[in-house]
Amino acid sequence: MRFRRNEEKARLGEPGCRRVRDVLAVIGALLLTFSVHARADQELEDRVRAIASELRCVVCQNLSVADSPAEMAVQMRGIVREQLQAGKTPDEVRAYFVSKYGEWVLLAPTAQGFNLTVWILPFVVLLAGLAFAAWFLHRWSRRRAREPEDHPDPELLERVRAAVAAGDETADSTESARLPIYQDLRELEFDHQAGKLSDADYESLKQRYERQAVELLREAGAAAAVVRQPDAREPEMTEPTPSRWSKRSWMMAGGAALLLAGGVTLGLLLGQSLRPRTSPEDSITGDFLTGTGPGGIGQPGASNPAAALRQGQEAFQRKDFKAAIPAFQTVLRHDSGHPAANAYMGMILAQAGHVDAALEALDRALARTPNFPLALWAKGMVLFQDGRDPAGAREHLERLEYLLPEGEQRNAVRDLIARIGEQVREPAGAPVEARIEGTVELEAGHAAETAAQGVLYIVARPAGARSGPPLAVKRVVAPAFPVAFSLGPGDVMIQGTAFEGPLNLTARLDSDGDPLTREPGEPAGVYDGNPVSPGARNVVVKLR
Amino acid sequence: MSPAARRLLLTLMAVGALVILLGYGFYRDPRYIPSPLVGNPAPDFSLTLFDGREVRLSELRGKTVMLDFWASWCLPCRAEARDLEAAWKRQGDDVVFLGINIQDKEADARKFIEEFGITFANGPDPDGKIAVDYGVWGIPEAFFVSPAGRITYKHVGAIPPAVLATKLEDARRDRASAESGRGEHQTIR
Repeated sequence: MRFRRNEEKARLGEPGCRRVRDVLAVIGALLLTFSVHARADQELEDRVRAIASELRCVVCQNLSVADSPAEMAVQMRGIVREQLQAGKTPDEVRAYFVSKYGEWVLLAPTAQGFNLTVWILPFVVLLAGLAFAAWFLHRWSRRRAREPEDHPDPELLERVRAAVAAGDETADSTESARLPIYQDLRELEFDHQAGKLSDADYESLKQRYERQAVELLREAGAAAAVVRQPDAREPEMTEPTPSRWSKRSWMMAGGAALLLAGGVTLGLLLGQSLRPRTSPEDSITGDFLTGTGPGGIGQPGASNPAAALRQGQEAFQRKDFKAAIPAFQTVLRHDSGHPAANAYMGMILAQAGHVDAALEALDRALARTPNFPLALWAKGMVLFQDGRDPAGAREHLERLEYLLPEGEQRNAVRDLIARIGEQVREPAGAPVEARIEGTVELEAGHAAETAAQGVLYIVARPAGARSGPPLAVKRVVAPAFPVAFSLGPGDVMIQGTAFEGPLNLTARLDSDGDPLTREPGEPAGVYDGNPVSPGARNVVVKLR
Repeated sequence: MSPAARRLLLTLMAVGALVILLGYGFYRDPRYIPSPLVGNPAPDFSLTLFDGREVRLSELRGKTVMLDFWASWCLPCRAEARDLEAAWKRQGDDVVFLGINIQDKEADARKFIEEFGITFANGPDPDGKIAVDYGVWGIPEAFFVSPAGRITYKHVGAIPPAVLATKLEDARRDRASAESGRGEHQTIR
């Protein structure tokens, strides 16, 4: 055994073994260096994390920079790390971020100036709560102290029991004044006999009432003694009657219930105002409480437009317009100019054939957000499909194309624009008889200022029809004569009606702008060349 | 006033104050971050442009500078791109437009510049240091720097050409705006 150990020792001294030993030493040294570095890195990371956890993420807001996965938060952590490595103190790093984003960036505001309120107020409220609790307990213990003793005077107890057993008529005058408590005891007895009360409840209530009655009798006796000694001071009658006590307890219970309801409501509201991020641009807050953000977890309803919008969008994607319409209406009740809700409503209205209403909704969306892609797309599509204004359709779609990054969507828009281009070119070569063009002149003798305040109606009726709804009407507000006009398919009164002749063309200047009323002396005129067919040009209507 | 009425009044006042505080909190846009930088010296930085040149803000002292933080994925940035280029072409030698591309891929950014035919200087801020230095949180964000090197105006979101012209004139005269402007914008990533 010893021989073998000596042999091993001898072998360790050999050159090969020495090399192994050297390698082991190097590895050991490296490991040591690594562990020292790792520890330093870990320390730095801990410091970075400590500072980052005090900074508010500018993208997601209710998360700290340390907890946020956002690209900006990662970059901000990098800056914190760099500044710490450059020897800045944590205070200096914090001050740097405050100088860029303001106090807003601190999750806990500094205890200075107005911010002090935020720090002090909770403690003030806590102290006030404690003071209230102490005051309440004090009152309660005083009342308990004044409650009847455990072993009431047997003589008085006997009197009470006798009075209860005998009924109202035998009670003496002092006791008559305390009748309610006797009445309570009799009712208790009755309820027990009727089986409405358990034995245990009956015993405890009876004991309580009897003690109260004994206490009242004892006090009455003391009061009588005071009456007999005129010099003695009147004792304070602070003892509440049983009915008053019960009112107070109801109030307490009511208050507690109200507090509980308040707490639960607040808890629910806060719960609904937070949600998981659904995209990098999304925030975990908002929606329910602030009305910002694309959708919350709350139940849709009159008070939750964000959830209603999401529900509407889902219904729209399912093509369930019946469900989508009330959801978007909910959103619009809250915000009549809501771009997304108006855009969707516009698309639904267009599907249902209400082109004008659809365009109104889409215009509302674009008035608020001129570059809202969905509304641009929808308006372009509506104008294109309607065929009324291909140039307008192309204008909207070109704006959308300009906004969209390269990709499938943009190509689709581009294709559509190309198709519209073909359509727009067609009418150029097509016959021009679709419109009636000309001027309306005002004969001398009519004051130009009345014209400037009035509304000119240029009306085309089917030839032969003297009354009834006109086929097409052009309305010119505050006309400056002579007025050039062009009446065409876009001016027809009833959607879908063909603009065809022969037609009778008349014009009228309405002084109050209301076509239903006609004031005497208003200039009116009939085209001398009636009937006229679409395609006519240089038509002159004279107002007399 | 009877004690009961006084108690009621006090309770109503306390509850009213709480409700007002809650209402203020709920109806404020929690995403909006007011900038403390307007009116202060513009933080200096060095930017390597897409064409390889190097620009340092402090070297542009004496000129009116418009810094524009943008990304190719941001729709409002696309919306304002042509307007910015058109405005840039109208400026003289005393005005410099500097685009700072953030949170983007270089290839996408170059494609954007090509697509909109942008000729003013542009460069990437890959680690977001310049963006944080300017307290950027929504893009596009424009900063107007006066010839004296002071930030005179900040606009979050696409900037209308009329506002751009007015604020450039203000910057030229070193006149700081009291409030930052807001338009259509996207939160950065």
